[in-house]
Amino acid sequence: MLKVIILEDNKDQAKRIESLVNKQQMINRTPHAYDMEVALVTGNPKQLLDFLKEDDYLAILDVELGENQSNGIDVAEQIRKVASFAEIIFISAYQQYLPYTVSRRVEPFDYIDKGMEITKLRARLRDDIDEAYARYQASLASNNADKTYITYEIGHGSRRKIPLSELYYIESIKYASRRIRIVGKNIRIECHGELKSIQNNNLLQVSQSAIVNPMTIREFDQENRQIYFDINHKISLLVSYRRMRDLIKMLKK
Amino acid sequence: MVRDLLIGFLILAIPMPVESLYLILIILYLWLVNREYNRHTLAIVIGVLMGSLYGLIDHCLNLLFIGSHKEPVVVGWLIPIGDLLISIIIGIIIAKFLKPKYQELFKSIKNTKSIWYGALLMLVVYEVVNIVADYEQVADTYYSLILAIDIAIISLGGIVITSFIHNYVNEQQQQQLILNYQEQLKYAKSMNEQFGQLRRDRHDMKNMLLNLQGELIDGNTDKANQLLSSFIQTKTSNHHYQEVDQSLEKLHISGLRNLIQVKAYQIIEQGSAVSIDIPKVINQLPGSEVKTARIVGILLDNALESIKKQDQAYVQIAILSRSDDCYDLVVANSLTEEIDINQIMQYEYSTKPGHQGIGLSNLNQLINQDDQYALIAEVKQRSIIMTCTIQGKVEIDAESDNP
Repeated sequence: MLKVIILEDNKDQAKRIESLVNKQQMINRTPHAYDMEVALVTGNPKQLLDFLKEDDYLAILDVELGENQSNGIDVAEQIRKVASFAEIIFISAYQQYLPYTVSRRVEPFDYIDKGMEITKLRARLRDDIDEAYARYQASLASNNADKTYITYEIGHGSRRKIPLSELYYIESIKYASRRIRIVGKNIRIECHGELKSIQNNNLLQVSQSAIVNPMTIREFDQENRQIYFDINHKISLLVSYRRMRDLIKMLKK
Repeated sequence: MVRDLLIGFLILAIPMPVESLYLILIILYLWLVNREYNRHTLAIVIGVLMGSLYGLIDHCLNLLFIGSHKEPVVVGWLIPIGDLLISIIIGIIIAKFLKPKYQELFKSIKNTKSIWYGALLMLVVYEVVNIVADYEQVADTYYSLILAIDIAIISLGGIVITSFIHNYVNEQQQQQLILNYQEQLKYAKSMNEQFGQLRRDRHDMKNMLLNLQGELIDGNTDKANQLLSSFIQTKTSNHHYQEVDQSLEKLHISGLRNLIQVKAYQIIEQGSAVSIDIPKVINQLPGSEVKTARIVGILLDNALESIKKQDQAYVQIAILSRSDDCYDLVVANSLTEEIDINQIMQYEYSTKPGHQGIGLSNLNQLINQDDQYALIAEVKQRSIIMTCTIQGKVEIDAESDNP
């Protein structure tokens, strides 16, 4: 079930959005009703944050809320951290907030200008709901293994995760005490840490200082004991003699 | 192969005054169909070798079985069977073991014509001996002598060819070593020059800073500012961009604020959009201020370089507080083409012509020298996000598994 949460301090506006979502749930471009419901409508960011769980959400957020309150972008940031699936739509009269969304890693689905003509705004929101639901369905249909994450600690109490499907390997950095490097398809992290603190049955140790995700290995050159993760052989790792057998066994599986 | 086999049978069907001429005809045919020196050399060597082996096998069989038999015709089939068997065995040995090594060897030799001449000479000498023996019909009587001469020719030919190849390969290796050494000398010279330049620049900078210190001690901040501007070659802009200045109001660290302000102005003057997000007041950051400034400087310089050729580019800068002693410094910029995040973080990678590209790899060094710093580099569909996390002192555990 896709849960819709609406954050809007203007009650009339909030009711209109809720009504639109309910109608779109019943009558949409597919022959069936969507498996979604409006789970929360509030103008209070704190109430929304308390409501959040590791669940699937479509969040429709106003950016500018009352004084002394977090804005919609702060809330969106928290939704991204907690939710297992989230599509975020911002509705705001103030376009200047759009630039903040990349650096905060909010990745909104859409940013709708409140000042738009009402019929256009509704049409845009309906299209967004349809598209968000389609993405939710696609996410459900994808392989469960894709939803596995590797969690690492970037700072005191600050944990982040990356999808296992995008992880290549994790290695300890030479000549730097207690530092690890996490290398993935579109990500590279260098932080304090130890290999032994990263436990996952999907990973395999290939040397004293490196563990790999066998699912992302593209090629294994047995003669030179090199693992390659990309076509051009730019991202590679050396396997120790002792670990060759385990790796070959894992790759054969 | 089938064609060659059929032609071979055809040649053998031609009546010849002496048997040894067949080898010459076959070698000639092979040369006519394929003028590759290395393959033909191999054909000559194998031809001579097989000719000798056939002669040896036939002679032995004749001596042991056929000559002493009452009806030699009955056991005469042993000769072709023997020849066939030896052909199969030698064929397997060559195809499985010798051919790959031979091919690799000839790849490294450019001048295979000389070796071919050597093989031809060996063939000629071999043929002369055997043709004379066949013609004078003394092959059976003096077989052992002829065999010894054949072995001597093959051995001598083999030794000459092998030593030629060996010397050639050695010479090539030595040439390569000399080239490598010359490259290394060139590199060492260039490194020396760069080091010298670095020492001079450092010396100049020290003197300039002393000069600056003097002006500051006397309270001449304007003069100090001018000196600095002329040294770092930036003009403190008379035009102020209000949105940038307002966004930086909550950052109370003067040096860092100035650095971000100058870079943000450069971004705007380049025609790109910039946004600065500092939600809470920041009086101090954990870690070293100098190191943090260097890191932010590198990140912003890279962002500036990255957006140079883009239309409608943007840069986003954020300093976000995760807790009282943990902050994220984020620099994100737009991208118009795909990039490999792992490649750009490598040492000396650069898209700028004539540049060594040490900025981002310097960043890695700075980050990894200090446990208070961490770096996350992510590439999204149309943007790249660099996040430097700075936190308060990290507690050190007694055990560690890092080598």
